[in-house]
Amino acid sequence: MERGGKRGQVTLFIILGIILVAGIIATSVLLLNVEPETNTPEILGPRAFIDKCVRDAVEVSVEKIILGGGEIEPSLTIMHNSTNYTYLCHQPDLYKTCYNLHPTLESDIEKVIKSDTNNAVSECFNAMREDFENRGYDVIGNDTYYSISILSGEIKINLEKSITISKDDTSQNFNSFNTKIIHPLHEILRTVHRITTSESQHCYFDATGHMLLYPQEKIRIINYQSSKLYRIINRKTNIEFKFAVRGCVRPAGLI
Amino acid sequence: MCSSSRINLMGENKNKKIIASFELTLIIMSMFAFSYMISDYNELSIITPKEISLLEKIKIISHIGLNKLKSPIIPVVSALEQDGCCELTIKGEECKSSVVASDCTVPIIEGRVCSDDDVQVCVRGCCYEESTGRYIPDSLQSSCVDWIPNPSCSIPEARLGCCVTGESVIPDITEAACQIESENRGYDSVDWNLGMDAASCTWIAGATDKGACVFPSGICSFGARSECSPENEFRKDYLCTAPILETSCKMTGETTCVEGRDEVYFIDDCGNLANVYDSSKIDDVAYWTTVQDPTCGVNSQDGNANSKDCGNCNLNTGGSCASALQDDFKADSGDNYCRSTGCYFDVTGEGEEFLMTGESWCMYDGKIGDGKDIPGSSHWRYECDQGEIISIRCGDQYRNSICIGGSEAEIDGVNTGFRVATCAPNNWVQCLNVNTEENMENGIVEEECNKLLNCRTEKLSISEKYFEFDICVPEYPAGFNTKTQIQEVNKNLCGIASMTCVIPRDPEFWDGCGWSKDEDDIKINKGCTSEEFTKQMNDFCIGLGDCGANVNIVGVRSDSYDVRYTLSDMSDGVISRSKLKSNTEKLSTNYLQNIMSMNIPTIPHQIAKDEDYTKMLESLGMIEIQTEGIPDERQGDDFYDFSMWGSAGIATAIYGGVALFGLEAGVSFSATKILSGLGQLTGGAAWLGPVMGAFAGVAAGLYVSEALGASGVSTVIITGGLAAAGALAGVAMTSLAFPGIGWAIAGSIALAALGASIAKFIEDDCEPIEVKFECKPWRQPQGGENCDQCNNDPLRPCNKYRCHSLGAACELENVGTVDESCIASPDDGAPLFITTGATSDNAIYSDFDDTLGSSWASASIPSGGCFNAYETIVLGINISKIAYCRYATTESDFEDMEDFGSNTYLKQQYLTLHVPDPSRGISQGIDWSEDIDLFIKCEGAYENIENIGFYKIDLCINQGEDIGAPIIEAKSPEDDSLVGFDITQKNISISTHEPATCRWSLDDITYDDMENNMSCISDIAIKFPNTNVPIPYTCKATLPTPLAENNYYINCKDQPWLEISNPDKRNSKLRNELYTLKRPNEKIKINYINPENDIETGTPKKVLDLEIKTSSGGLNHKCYYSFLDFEIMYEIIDISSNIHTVPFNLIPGKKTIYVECRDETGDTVQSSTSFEIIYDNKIPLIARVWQDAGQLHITTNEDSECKYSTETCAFDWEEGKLMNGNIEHITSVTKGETYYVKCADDFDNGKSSNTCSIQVMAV
Repeated sequence: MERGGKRGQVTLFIILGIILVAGIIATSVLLLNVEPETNTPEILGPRAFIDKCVRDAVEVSVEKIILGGGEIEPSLTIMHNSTNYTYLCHQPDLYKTCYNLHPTLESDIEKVIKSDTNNAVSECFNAMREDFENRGYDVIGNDTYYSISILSGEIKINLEKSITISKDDTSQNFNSFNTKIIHPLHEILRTVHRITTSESQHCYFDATGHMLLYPQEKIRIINYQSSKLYRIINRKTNIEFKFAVRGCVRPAGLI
Repeated sequence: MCSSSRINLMGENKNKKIIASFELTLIIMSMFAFSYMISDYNELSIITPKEISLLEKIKIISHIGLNKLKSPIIPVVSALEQDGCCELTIKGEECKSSVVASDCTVPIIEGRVCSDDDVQVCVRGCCYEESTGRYIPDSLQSSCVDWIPNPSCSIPEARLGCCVTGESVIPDITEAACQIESENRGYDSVDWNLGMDAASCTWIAGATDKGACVFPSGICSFGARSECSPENEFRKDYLCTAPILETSCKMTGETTCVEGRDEVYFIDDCGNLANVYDSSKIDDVAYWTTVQDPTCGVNSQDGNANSKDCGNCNLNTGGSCASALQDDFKADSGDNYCRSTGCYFDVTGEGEEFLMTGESWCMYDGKIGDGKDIPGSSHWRYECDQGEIISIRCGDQYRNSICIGGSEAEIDGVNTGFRVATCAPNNWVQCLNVNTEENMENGIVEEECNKLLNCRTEKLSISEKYFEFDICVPEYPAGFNTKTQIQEVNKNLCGIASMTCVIPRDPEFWDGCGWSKDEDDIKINKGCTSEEFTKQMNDFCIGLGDCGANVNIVGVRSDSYDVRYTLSDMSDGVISRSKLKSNTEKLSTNYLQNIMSMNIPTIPHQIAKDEDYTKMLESLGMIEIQTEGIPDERQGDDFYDFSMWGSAGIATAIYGGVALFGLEAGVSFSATKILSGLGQLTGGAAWLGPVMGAFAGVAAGLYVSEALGASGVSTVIITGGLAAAGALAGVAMTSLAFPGIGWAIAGSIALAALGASIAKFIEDDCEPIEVKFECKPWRQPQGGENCDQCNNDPLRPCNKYRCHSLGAACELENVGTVDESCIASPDDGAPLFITTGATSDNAIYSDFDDTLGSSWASASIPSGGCFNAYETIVLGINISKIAYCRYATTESDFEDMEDFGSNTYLKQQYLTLHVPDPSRGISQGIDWSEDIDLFIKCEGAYENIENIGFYKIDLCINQGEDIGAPIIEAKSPEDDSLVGFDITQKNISISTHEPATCRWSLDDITYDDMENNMSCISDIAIKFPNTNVPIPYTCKATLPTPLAENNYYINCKDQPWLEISNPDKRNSKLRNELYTLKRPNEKIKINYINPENDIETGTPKKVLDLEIKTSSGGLNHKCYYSFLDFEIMYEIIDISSNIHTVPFNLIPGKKTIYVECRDETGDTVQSSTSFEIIYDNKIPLIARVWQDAGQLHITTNEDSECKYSTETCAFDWEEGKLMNGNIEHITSVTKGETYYVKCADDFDNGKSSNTCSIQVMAV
């Protein structure tokens, strides 16, 4: 008896829930007077639209930067297997240890991602505004504060912008569009830091010890043309960061 | 039901497992730490001579006459432009030395190397990255915002520690970084443990309290206590599925992997972690109630790899959690399993074995050690990484790095079954430096050689007492670049083993000189008449590098040696020329078969020689066996460096698991000691090293033979042998100053010295037979049929060195692309032809002209006449394809000709000739009057030598009366040099361009009036063609040095042979040469050595600089140090002449550093400093507390800073309120208020603590 009563309650809640969700969607569609389309701001909502749009742009940028060893347009590289490895620690002379060429690599990457995606982020807001304006809405927005933070396990996209979407007497405010991408870049860059620090001081990095401590990371080293090519691979995601080091070079034979 | 006494997730058994794993990890981490420990010396001790720029190469080459080239074969012109340090090259390289202005984006700093102290743009420093809290050493200011000139970041803020954020830990980060990480993860407080090493840090991650966090709503989350809000109930060691908790979470058969852990875990239907997967316990309520140890697969030897029913994986022993779906593996329950992390590989050549992840071993391309490493080969380090075998070539190319270790490690005599190998720098250069004049004279070459790593003593014993000596040579000879246009260095290195064995002939009683009637009667150097001579010499030869008769990695042999005889008439003895030739010229089949077998890649149980690196590391201060001065509480933990492994040293350490990873980083230590020092000492007169060495050898030989009562023949032999040794000593010295030229001259000087002795002998007795072994750089085989064999092994990728060794036509193509491979350059079938190339300033060429039926050219002086005798000229040829060329003065068999240039395939070859004196006629080795024809033939990569004709160059030499005075080409020491402060006389040596006798005087008088004869060896029977190096004629003398400045007048006369018959025809200069030697005002002294007092540190290691100030003495000071004694010391590489600094990163304890400084005069001064590094990791103690007049007084036991909070002990230091005072700390208090006080010393001990130093209530 009691068991049957509980079951009835659950069913009732489910039905009410469905009605509620359907009502919200219907109201939204009617209010915005737009055809439901996939991935449009009104279907996703302004926040979700910006979220997806910005994350897509940042993901592309991150991929580019990872390929470039921390730079979009690497300045000093060595090519191996048709892939450019950017030098993060380099010493052109013989015998000496390398200089850390990008000591503030992580913050540099944050800046590079930001500058690389600035336009794309603006475009995301423009696309949203145009879409709403085409449907007769007023969209008012103030300045955008945009930055990237590479954090543990994620890339945080800090996006502060106040937007008001209004039509007739109805308006809605949005203030923050912060979002994030799950990504091991921070951990990878911490390893990069360890490697370049060790290489610049000792001409050596203990990859075996590192991999035993951090089994989630795979490190591959190739001795190639007086340089060491490093590949750091996150075993779970297969995200790979490549870079090169040149230091403590000994010549052939005796000179 | 599990006992509640279990204090962590793993439980007791798990603890054991963790401890075992921890120990293993610690071992591995020891490698880690060890590498850091020993790696410090890398920067300090790697060979860091002044950069060998192209310009300097040219300087080197200039000594063999190439500087005289009018139109250089090698592009040297641009290098004559002034170069310097470039901040940014057009290629984007930062701080590159020896760059010419046109290659630099900004004005170069002329004449400076970028490491010079005064080159500010290239000064290294420490960069702080604010957003991450990281300190980055060795950064340039130009690439940093927050930069300080502290290259190693040895500041308190940069100290590393273990950061704990909830359940996770981050080892080796700064406190600032920990604060940032904590904030980003939502933690208010910072749990940072200063100095905690990575292994310990990782371990504490598993030791935090975990349990079920039960929300009032009945929702449950399993995790760390710190992650459970106070409003929820934390039930330590309980799982969310515990019935007693009445949560909504239910047991499932699903599993998951957890980052940072090896095992497969059950998860409940809320997604919470439960115990380790065990298919038999899916429905076991007790197993789903509390945190329990896994009971399945506890004793598994392979980490439960591929187990369907047990998720108790262990990465280190063989298994780690992974997706079963991804691997198409069917577990009994869930989608995860223990994926195998081990590998199978045939390490020893006796079949496959199981290897755990992290195990490493060495693989080779053939035989290694004992001087038997073959051309093109490398040492490889293989490793098992989570089921994948990976490899790395030790070093880049040319065997500058070797693989050592690889056996199963032992700890305290117990075999761990864990293989550990590492790459280490090949210390081959230093071996050669042992062969000094002094060591050879004293017979201590072997003793000194044994002290060095990677060196061995080659004991040549062809003939007892005579052709018998020890030479220190590399255990693992280095590889050479066979494609570089500059082959002189390779040639000269191999040339060390070019030696001549002298077999005396007895005078016949009735007439002239003849052979012994019975071969057994040959008493001296009989061994030189047999194959043994060639075998031993070839062993010596291949032990020096890629030289001699040797095979490449695919087993193709090339014979790069010659055996020749110098006596033309050998017809009337028992040993005919043909017999001698057949005995010695060809190596036996057996010997060659041994050579041919050296390329077998897997020689069972072949490992590198077990060498003890302990002493070297101790000397460098990288390790410390003594425990004196180490705080008791520290022994056994951070001092595992050595207290862990005991005095057995590094060898044990290697096999005990402490790998020498850091050795890869550049252990090339003390070659530099002599290197830069003597570089300055000998200055430009590099060639005088071997000269003096040679003649010192002669002198020593005479002394020895006299002492032995020997005479006649034996004197010659001993003299010759020691002269050769002396020359080598000189080579060792000179090669350090100008590495290239030293070797170049060595062979010839040794030969010259022999010749001198022989000449002496000839006057008295009979001309002996000389059997000369010439050791040449190994030349790759013709053709390119084996090139592809470089591309077949993905674990041993090809590179240029490897590729080029496979054949003359092999080239590494598509470099840098996915198509990079070693391929044979096609044989286009076009004819091979040569054209005349560059000549020296004093020579010109006509083009080859074949209108008369054969290609010939003529060489002459620029005005068109003949050459003068004794001139050094260079003749270059350009070849249409890479080729190896030889020449002779008659049309001869290719095998009987001499090398024209280098013994390798190049498109340009050059020959340096010392023009003989026609007036000395037949004694020069050939019968000619004034014209010489040089017949040249070249062998291409494909071309059959038989199909190629001779090219001819004719040249003429001026005949007639010699009217020119001898020219003094070099003096050693150089003019105006400083000599030792205490010495009263100085041995000097001069070199003339032609045979001469020289004299000196303190007065500027004529040669004939000069009262002091120099000892000259000028009557050298030089054969022609000779080796293509200039022949210096040398005189020496001992000059008194009583004054601060001593002036001498020197003059020489040529044609000594005319002294009796026609002395008036001898020429000397009208004006004497003034030669000056000075003494310094004071002997070199050490003003101070820092540190001289004990040092306190708050870190487990202390970064400090050893600083030595020297003064007086000569102009250039060099200092050396050792933590052991004055025996084997290591150079402090610095630029400043008077302040010598070297940074260390030392563990606490008592230290003594021994220091020796020397100047260019050879004067030395020794001193030492002793101090103790005291580790202070103790929180300041409260000695007394009282309240007086509304003020709280606290006295601490050491200088410290005290802060307080009125709320909690766990206050953030920065937010605490400061009390006044250092020892006595005072602050006003309010009655009834509780004061939580923390005191911290200068090393921040006490700042991070969550406990108070004292907690008091004001009354």
